[in-house]
Amino acid sequence: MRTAIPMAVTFFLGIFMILEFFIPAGSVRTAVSLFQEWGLVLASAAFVLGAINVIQVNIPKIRRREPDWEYKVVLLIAALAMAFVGLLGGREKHTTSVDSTLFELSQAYSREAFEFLYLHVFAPANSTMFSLLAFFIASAAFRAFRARNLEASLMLITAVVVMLGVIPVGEWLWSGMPELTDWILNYANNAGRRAILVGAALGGVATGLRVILGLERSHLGGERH
Amino acid sequence: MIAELQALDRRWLFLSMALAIVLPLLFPIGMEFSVSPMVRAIFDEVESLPPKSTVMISVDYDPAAQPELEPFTRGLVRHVLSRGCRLVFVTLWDKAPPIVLSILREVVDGEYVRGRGYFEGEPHPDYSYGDDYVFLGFKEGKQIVINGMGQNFRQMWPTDWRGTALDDLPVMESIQTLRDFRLIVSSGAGAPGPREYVQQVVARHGLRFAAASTAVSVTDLTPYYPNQIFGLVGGMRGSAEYEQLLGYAGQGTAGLNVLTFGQLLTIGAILLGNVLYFLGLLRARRRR
Amino acid sequence: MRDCTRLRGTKTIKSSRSADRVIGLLSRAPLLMSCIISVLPGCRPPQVELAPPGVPRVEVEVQDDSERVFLHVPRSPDGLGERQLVVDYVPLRARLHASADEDLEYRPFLFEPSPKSTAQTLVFEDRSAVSGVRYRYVVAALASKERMGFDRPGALAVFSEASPVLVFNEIETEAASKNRSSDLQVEVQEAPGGAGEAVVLSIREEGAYDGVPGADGLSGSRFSALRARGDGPYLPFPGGLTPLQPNRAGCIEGTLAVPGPGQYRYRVYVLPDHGEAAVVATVRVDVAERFFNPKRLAVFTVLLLIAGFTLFFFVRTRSHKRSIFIRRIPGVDAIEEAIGRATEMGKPVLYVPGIEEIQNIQTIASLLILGRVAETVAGYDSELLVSCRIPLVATVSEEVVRQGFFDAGRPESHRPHNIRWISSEQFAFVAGTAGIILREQPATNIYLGRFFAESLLLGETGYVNRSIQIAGTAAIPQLPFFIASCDYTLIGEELFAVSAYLTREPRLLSSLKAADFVKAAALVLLLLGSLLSCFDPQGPLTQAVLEFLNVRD
Repeated sequence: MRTAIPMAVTFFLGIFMILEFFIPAGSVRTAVSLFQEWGLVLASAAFVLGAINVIQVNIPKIRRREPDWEYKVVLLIAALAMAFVGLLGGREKHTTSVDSTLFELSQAYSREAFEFLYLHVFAPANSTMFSLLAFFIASAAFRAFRARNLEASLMLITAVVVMLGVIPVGEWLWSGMPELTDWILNYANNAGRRAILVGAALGGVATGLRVILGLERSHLGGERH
Repeated sequence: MIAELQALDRRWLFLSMALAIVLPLLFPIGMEFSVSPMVRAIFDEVESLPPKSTVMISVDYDPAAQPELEPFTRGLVRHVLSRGCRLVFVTLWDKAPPIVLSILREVVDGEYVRGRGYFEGEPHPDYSYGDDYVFLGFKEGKQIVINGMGQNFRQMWPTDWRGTALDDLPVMESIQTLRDFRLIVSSGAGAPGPREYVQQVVARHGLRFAAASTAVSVTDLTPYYPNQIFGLVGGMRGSAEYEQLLGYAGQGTAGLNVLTFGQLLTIGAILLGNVLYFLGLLRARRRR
Repeated sequence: MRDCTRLRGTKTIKSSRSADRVIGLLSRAPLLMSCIISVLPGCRPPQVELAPPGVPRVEVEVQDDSERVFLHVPRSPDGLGERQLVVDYVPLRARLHASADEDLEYRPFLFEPSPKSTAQTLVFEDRSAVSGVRYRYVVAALASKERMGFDRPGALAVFSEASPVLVFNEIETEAASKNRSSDLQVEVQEAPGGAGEAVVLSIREEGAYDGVPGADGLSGSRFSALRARGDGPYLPFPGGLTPLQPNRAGCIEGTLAVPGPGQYRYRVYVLPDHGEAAVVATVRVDVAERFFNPKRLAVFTVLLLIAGFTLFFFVRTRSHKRSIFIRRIPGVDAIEEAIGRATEMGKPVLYVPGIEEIQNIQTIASLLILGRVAETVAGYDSELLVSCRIPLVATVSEEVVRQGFFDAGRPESHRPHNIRWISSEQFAFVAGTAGIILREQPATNIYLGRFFAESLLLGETGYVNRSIQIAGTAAIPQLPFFIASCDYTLIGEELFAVSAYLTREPRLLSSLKAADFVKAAALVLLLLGSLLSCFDPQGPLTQAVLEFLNVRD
């Protein structure tokens, strides 16, 4: 019973959602959009659980003064501060007046603490994390791109050609470099991508069917291997 | 020596990368480069726009992708403005509204209306918010929103970002569906972005659609070129190409300088790694 | 005979006797008529309802100095009854003739919203009124059922009271613009898809502007349409009365929502700058609700094939007790080894189920694998950390891990706090997970699911920590990063095979086999398609294959 009910729910809803893809009738779509709305509500409610999780994980560590507890304090303060200004002032101003100029409205908007935090804390932090990629690419390239065998050598050569092809130096070295890069991207790369894509799509369908048909039930428990 | 180099502290690489990024920014080098047909197609399309036609730009990126996509987006806005066209901005990313507002403030209002920067000495005081350009704001719902825009644009965006009804915005007068836009461009760093536009509305409604994406995602979009996406700008290189077509060297061109030295350093790191690898193999064989 | 009273200057305003009678009737029954055009599609049949009382009365103003007519419509802030929100107000106009007993025919006309509009009153300006003609106006309030922010199509049209009749002074009328109905082709057909929710209305000039981009087409002409459902009256509908303008292809083509399956008639009018709207055409369309989309036949076939093959292999292995061969996947073999290593080192195992939403199939596959991994970790009595970006994924992960520990017979070892929701912001999540890697130093990192730019950031941080790293994703742009930074990488479909591979259960392996067979079929089809399009691109077989696959250029 413990697994039968979830399996039945998965089966009926899964089959319904699959069939919906093939049934264009508006009444079916209405039912589907209702389920999708339920999904959205569930996903939103999970944010509350997420927030509780953050508090449950971090507060005991702060209380016990575990190593690096200071970071947890920063995390909680930052989360609370952003939530506070987000709820109070982060929403875009709604006014029906068309008389005020954009500049005035922008000024009003920029006064909000939310925008300050967005521009001066969130945006730089976000960009910093993303820009770490540049450094990590160099170190990963140094360490991992080795011509150990034929496949690795091919990959290495292709990578160098494509990298040269997108910078002016490549064009300076050989005028045909951008065309060669385009050719690699449009033909060799696309062929490989599509091969992976076909396999992955069929794998995805098979996985979905396994869950819907109840063949896969590890997530529901009650199995011992 | 080889062993030492093989165990090279990666912080040296980080330092070299930092220099390869900072130095070209401080001392830019003008390098010539060709413009790909994918980028030129967008430029030519904008050039052929009749004045007063309406262009929709979907700004679908966050601050992380700003360096790659913003130079193109700003370049495109300048180009569309120089053609005297109307602009409608939307976004499907919750973190994008401040980015759009800064474009409106700095490029549309700061440069075009006041006659500064790219439009130095040519102010257009009559070009006003609501009459000629509008920002409709952010809408949650990803593909559902894109699909809805194709069905009934006004139903999906009943108001602009300030809550003004579309009927009160003259710029939106002739817009009922996406098809009413002369040109649609999605500048996107991921999902939802250009790919979702293609899958949901481009083919179904026969839209004139162009896209810009980060360099890493451009291979996701190349299969759609040129049938569904008639023009495609990929990362900094694409942005720099668009700036070259517009006749100025902005952030995109500066970014290309950085990209050049960054890529060269990466290629150097690959070569060094391989040389050390083969020397190591040689030494091991000799010992045996 | 015209019954006029001179009011101001050259203009006169007075109601005719017949009009007075009508207005008298109207004042007793404030609603001229109302009709539900739409209900929830497909759920209820259309009904005729009286509009709630209090529908505002329209006032008409004629400006002294010109032929300008303004309609003042009080906005209805509370909507029209329960959950009926007014989405649009649409004025219609009827031309009155001498006969008192005539049937009025309300038609659309060229109007513009006036800047005189306020928050309380909407003002329309009639731009096409002609001097010397008496008109009666009516304003329809188009309402819509609103639910979760998405408007239902169609909905309610409620007519306000008819306005007093206007009589202009006898001035020579301007000739109405050319009636273009003769050279126009109006078509209406069901919108593709067969949802029974929309039609496509198109107006084009016969032959001349056959959808050629850039053609001038119908520019200069404005059109409008009224709709009748079944044998009902012609009524305005959302999207139909805003003057339709030609698109860039030089023709008018609009997708118009309908409230449900049924027969509809559309009466299309051309709106002249001055004078009466002329009927261009009346077209009819049957909108039906279909229960299979033939364009998705190919996908349906693939689905049936996979399901069929799965069943076939499952039954075969059960009845013949045969095992199904599945090739070695070193990355999956390494998972157990890596968990063992973590146990030996006394360090935890970190699992990241991608950063996509729960409904993504890669996330689902990853959560299935997480169950197996949790069981193995529990078997070794080791510690499992799970780092999530989506709150719902974190919630489900906790359940899955709890179940894994329970299945391994060690429910007491499960620590719910080890399943963490970090942040739904991508790079904050990366920073948090990198922090876990550097501070808690897991000996094994497993990244399985849908990843974006964080792949290399996580991989490199794990490398610094000297963790054994196993990654797997079907996100193609991220594969090179994982391959460069991790010890093992599962590519594309391998991710979906892990769960079955780990258990070796026939019922799971049979679905892998089925997917393989369909892949083989896809390969044959690809090859056949390539050959056909090379050697016989226009042949009937090629066209049949293209039709089946619903492939467009």
